[in-house]
Amino acid sequence: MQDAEKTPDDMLLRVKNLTVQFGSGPMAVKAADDLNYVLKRNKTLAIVGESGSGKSVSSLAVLGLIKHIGGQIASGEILFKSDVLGREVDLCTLDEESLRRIRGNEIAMIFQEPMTSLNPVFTIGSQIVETLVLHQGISQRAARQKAKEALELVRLPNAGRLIDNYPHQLSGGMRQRAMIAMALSCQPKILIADEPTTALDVTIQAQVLSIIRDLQRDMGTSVIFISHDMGVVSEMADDVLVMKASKRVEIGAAKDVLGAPKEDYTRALLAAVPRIGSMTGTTKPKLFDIPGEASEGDTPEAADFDASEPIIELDKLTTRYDIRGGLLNRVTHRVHAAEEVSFKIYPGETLALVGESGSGKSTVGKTIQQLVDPVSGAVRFRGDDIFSMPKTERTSFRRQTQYVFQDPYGSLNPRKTVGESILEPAFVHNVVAPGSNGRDYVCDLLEKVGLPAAHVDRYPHEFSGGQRQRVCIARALACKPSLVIADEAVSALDVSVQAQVVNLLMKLQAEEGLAYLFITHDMAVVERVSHRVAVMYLGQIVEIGSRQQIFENPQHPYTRRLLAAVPVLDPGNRPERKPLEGEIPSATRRVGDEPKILQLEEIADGHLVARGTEGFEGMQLA
Amino acid sequence: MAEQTQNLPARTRFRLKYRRFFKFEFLLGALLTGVLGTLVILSTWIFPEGGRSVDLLARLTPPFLSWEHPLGTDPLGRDILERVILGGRISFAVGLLSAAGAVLLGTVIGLLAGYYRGIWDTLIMRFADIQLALPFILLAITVIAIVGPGIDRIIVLMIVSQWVQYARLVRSSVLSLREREFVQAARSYGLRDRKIIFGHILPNALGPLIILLTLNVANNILLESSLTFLGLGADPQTPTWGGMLSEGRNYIQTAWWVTVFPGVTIMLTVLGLNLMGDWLRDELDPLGRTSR
Repeated sequence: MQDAEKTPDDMLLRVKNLTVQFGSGPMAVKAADDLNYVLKRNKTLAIVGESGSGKSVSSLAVLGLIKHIGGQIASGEILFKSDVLGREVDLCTLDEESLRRIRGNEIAMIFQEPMTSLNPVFTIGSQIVETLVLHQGISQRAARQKAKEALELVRLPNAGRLIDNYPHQLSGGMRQRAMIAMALSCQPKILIADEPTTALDVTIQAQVLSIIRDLQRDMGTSVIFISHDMGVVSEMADDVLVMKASKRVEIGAAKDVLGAPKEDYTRALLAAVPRIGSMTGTTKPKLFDIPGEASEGDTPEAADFDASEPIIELDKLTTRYDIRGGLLNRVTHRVHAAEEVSFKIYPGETLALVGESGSGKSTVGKTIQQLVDPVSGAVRFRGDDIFSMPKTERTSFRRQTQYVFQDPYGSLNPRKTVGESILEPAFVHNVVAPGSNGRDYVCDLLEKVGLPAAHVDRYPHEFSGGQRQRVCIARALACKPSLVIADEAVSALDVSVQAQVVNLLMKLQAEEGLAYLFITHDMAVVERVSHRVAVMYLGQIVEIGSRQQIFENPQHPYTRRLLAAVPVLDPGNRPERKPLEGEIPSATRRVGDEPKILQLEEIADGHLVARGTEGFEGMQLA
Repeated sequence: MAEQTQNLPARTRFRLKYRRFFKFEFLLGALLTGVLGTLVILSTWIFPEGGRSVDLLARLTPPFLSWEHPLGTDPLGRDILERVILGGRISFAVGLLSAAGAVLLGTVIGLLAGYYRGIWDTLIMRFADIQLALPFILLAITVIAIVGPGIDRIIVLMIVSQWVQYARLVRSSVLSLREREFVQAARSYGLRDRKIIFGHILPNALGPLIILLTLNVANNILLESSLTFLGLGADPQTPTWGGMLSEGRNYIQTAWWVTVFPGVTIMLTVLGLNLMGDWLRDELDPLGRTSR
């Protein structure tokens, strides 16, 4: 980028040699280091990178919010052509008053977490009206009219009614759309979207992405799109900036960066991205090829499983949660989280349980782990029904299944060392003799999951997210289980870390003959790890079969819809998919209003599909 | 870590090893509570006559004039320094015992109610609401009128009425902690409830508890003075800090020292306890321990 004295007309925002740092003196941490990029009019620039790479900080600098979060701009400039101020300004040195006129008006932002970025005590409408009145100086009434139009623009049904709703009355996807409406209400020139769809389900993500794309086309907005998801980036971006450790790695047109990356880091990042459809024709799970990680000759293919006797068998398992209400605190509604769910898992096998939020997939896992009690049905462990066992036997059965939770930050007690945390289940089940300190045992486990044994006395906060998840896996292995339930165990991790952890799980499976129940919403990961797949929707299994059957020959419309919504890493080709409308209906029903049980039909060997599409009226199926 | 410290001078090594004690909070807090505590414990032997020796000729002597009465005398000519030190016996006992009793009772009830929920939780918390609505002084007057005055009764009354705030505080922490994944994880591998509650939940709920505890000690020292003033607490002859404050009330314009010295002592005690409390809270938190 040669620096002309005068900015070329289509360059809306130019970031030059930007360095942002936190703290001062020798302790200073640079969150952005000599960063350069240009945002063109009506284009989308995607900033990608793993957590901690400084991608969010570089966008907060554009909003002039660095001071607010305790950092400072050490050097560089951010040149922005402002219409409000009528000149090109440097956002790094601009006074607070002028910045306020630009923020929300010319540069707006959408945050990741739709649950927390709207103020819960104000209605949706009043929050949009506030922005409008502030920046455009129009009357309350006119602002309300505009707010309504903005809500219609993001395709929210019943905008007139929603405007007076509070955030908690909306689903996550609707809230994110309301956020977009708020951000776009002043018709900003730049929209900064910081991981706007990370917290959403895939089908809802597809809706939100298509809304952002359409609005960008109609309003001529430039978008800075921050994401860690290469598939989403490939669908959205014109240009891509790859960041690593606060520095720019590579910048260029999306087609070049994603299609023919020049830098090793970009290549490594792309190699770690699971691509849906990349395993067509194979039957077994496959390890990720991680550059730099020694691939041990012929182990990349995971072992086959032994299909003679199932380790665990679910027979019409039904779990419901009661919701009490009314004057007498009686049960008025029930959440039908799992309805007559049946499947088997064999030793050494991975069964993936997929579905969107509220589909009841976690409930099934928690019921097997005895964290919740089922209403009816049976869970048979090697033939014995665990819910009809006496209490003491049930407790000892807990040794056989272990749970790995999604959040590696929340699932370790911050006040215990990782050694204590790992050892605790082993003590509970007398795997390690009480009284012995078990240190060697823990060190072995840590090495098995790829962590140095010397870290045994550290506290969880001294580890990164991926390392913590390894600690959680070590804890799960501590009492030598035969089934590990991984509940979104890799969803919170960066792609490269995710690939490593998935590989670790597959290697452990091959070594120990473990069976996995892999609960996730991420179809691309599922394709990698699973032998068999079960698709859940509103508490019921709609389709179950081998991985090949589900991915290459999906029969149920919901499965197809789920697969179609997954963003595909295919730079240069934006999928022209029909925007799907509609929300996922709630699994909460009034007492007495029982859902209809779907009948599964065997269409091929082991491939069962639900007949009919009852219960799917709420949304349009592909 | 260990290898690196080998080459350092002994003095630095010592400081590194006992790093946690070289902190302003700890040093000042320990100094204040240590000195006051030692004096109070030894006071019975230092002043055998118990601060009751009246000397009307020397009444309201100003401080810093003589070695006989370094902090002056009160309206009855009793030595202020002597009475301040002796007063600590009752004030310390009331403040510490009542707070300790309340924190134990309240924490256990709060933990159980928050963890198990259900009907007992509802009953206990509604009872707690009722208790919070009942004015303490009214309760104290009623009870003392029936059982007669005394320090032991005051302490019991304070425990009975103050466990509620601890129970509420702990319960609210427990309600969010019990849903955290590490508690779920502990349940998933079959840990006993008792160990989950005391091993996983309690350590994470300690921070605000310690803060409330140190404030509570201070409040109870002052509360004892109100009760003594109303004639419900200690026998008026027995020196207590609160009692001295209320005695000095009438002389505040002419003889400031009668109120100021017990007041300053209360302040220093509370400051010392608060500093120790802050230090303890940071020490118990592994996050705070390494970052400083």
